[in-house]
Amino acid sequence: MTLLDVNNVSLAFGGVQALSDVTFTVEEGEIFSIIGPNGAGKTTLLNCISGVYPPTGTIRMEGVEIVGMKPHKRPKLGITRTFQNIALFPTESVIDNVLVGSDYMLRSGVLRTCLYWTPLGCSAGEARAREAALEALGILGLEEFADAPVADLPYGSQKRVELARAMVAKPKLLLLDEPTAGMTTTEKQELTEQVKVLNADHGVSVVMIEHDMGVVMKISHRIMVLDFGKKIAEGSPAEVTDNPKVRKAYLGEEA
Amino acid sequence: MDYFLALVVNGIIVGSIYSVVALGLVLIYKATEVVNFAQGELLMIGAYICLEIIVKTGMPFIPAFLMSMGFMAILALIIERVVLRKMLEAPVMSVIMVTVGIGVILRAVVILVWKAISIPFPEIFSREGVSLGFITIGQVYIWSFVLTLIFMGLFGAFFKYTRIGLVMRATASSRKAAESMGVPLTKVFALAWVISAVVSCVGGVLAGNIAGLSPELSFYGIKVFPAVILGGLDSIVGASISGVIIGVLENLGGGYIKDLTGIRGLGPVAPFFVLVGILWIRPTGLFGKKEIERV
Repeated sequence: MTLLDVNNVSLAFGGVQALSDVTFTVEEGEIFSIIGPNGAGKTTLLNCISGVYPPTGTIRMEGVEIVGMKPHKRPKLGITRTFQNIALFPTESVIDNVLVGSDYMLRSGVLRTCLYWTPLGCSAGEARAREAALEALGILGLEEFADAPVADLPYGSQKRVELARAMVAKPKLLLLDEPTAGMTTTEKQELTEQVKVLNADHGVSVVMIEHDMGVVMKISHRIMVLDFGKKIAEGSPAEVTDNPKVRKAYLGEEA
Repeated sequence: MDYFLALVVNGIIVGSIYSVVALGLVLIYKATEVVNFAQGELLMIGAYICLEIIVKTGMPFIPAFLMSMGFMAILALIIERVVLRKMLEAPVMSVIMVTVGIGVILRAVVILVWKAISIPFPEIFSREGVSLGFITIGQVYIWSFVLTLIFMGLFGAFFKYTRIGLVMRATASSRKAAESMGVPLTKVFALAWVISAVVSCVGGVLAGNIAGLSPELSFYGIKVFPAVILGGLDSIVGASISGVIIGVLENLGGGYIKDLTGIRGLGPVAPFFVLVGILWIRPTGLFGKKEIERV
C-alpha cells in the first residue's frame, strides 16, 4: 500500500529552481533512499515533506494532503524526522530530549500540570510518556544514558538519541537526513543495522537521504536519484547503479 | 558600615523586583527571540489594575492580586493573538518595534484613565520598621522580598519540572527541532507572553506598594535592561542574580555619589557604568551562552 504519495512537487527560491516536478511514492514497509550530488535538492525535498517549505504540487500521507499543513501536525499523521546537523536540545538530558518527541500525545495543559498528582492531573500520562521514552531509548540501546546530559554523549550516540526522539511518537514514516554523516565506520555499521531493525521489526517505513553509497546500497529497497532538482532515475539499487544518467551525474561520464 | 549595609539590603530588596521583571523579559526573548520593549508598560498596567480592583470593589489584597494577574494573562493573550501572531514571519527587528508601539499605547491609556499623577497604593503591608539587628527596614520591603522569592521559586520549578517547561526550554533551544517533534510553536509563544505579563504584574504591584503608582513605573522596563544584559539575555538564572546585582549597585551608587559629590539622582546611572565594564570583558554577559556557529 502507498504510504506517501509525492506528486509534481516544485519549489523555487527566487530564481533558483530547487525542485522541479518531482514525483514518487513510498510504499508501506519500504526503505526509500534519495541520493544525488550536493545541491541536488535532497534536503529541500525532505523539508517539503516535513513542512518547512510549502512547495507547489501535492504530497499525500495515507491520502491526506499535507502541503501547507504546519510542521507540528506531522507527528500526529505518523511522520517524524531527524536532521542533517544534529538538532537536539543540548542543555537537556537524553530522556528529556526524547520526551519532547512524545509531547503531542499528552494533554497536559497548564491547569492539569497544576493538578499534577490529582486524578484530573497529568501524572499518569507523564508516567506513560516516560515509559514510551525509555522503550524508544531501549530500541536504540541507549537506556543506560537516559539521565545523562545529551551534550556529553559522543557524536554517534547523539545521532541515535535523535533517532529515538523520532521513534517515540511511533511513526509510520521516518525521514532521515544523512543519518551517518560524520560517523566512524563502526558507528555507520551500527546505525545501518539499527535502521534495518526499525524497518523490519517495528514496521517503520523510511525515507533516507544518504551520501555513503555503501549504506545506501546495503539497506535500500528502492532509490531515487535527484540532480539539479529533477528526478533522473528511480529503481532498485542494482538498476540505479547501472543507469548511465546516474553515472554521468556522479562521475561526469558521457552518457 | 551600617550605612553600607543599609544600602546593600535595600538594593537587594529593590533588585529582587528587577529580577522578577527581568525573568519576564528573558522568557520572551528565549522563546521568541524578541526583546519586549513593552515590559515596563505591562508592569505598570498590572499595578494600576490591581489598585483599581482594590479601590473600586474593596476586595482584600490577595484575591485582587490574583485577579489582576488573571487580567494581565488575558491582556497578553490578546496582544499575542491580535498583534504578534501576524508578525510570526516578520524580521525580529520589526517585532521589536511593534513592542515599542504597544508600550506607547499602553502608557497613553494609563495617562488617559488615571492621569499622569502619582497615586499612593492603599497600605497593604505596614510601613512600620522591623529591626534586623543591624538595620531597621519597613515591613513592606520584607514582604515584597518574600513574595518575589516565592514567585521566582514557582517560576523556576515550573520551568525545571513540568512538561510544559520542558517544551518551552526545547523550543528555546531549537525551534525547528521542537516543531518537527509536534510542538505547536504559536501556543508556546502565547504562553511565554502570558507568563511574562503575569510576572511583570507581580513586579508592578510590589513596586507600586513600595513607591506608589505613576506612569513612571514603566521605567522599570528600561531599568531592567542592564540586569538582563548583565545576566546574558538568554539566561534565566543570570537574570535573577543580575537583577539583585543591579539593585545593589544602584543603591550604593546613589548613596555614595550623593554623599561624595552632592549630586542627586545618579543612582540609576551607576549600574550602566558597571555594565559597560563587564560587557568589555564578557560580551555575552555573566551567564549568557556563547553563540557557536557551525559552518
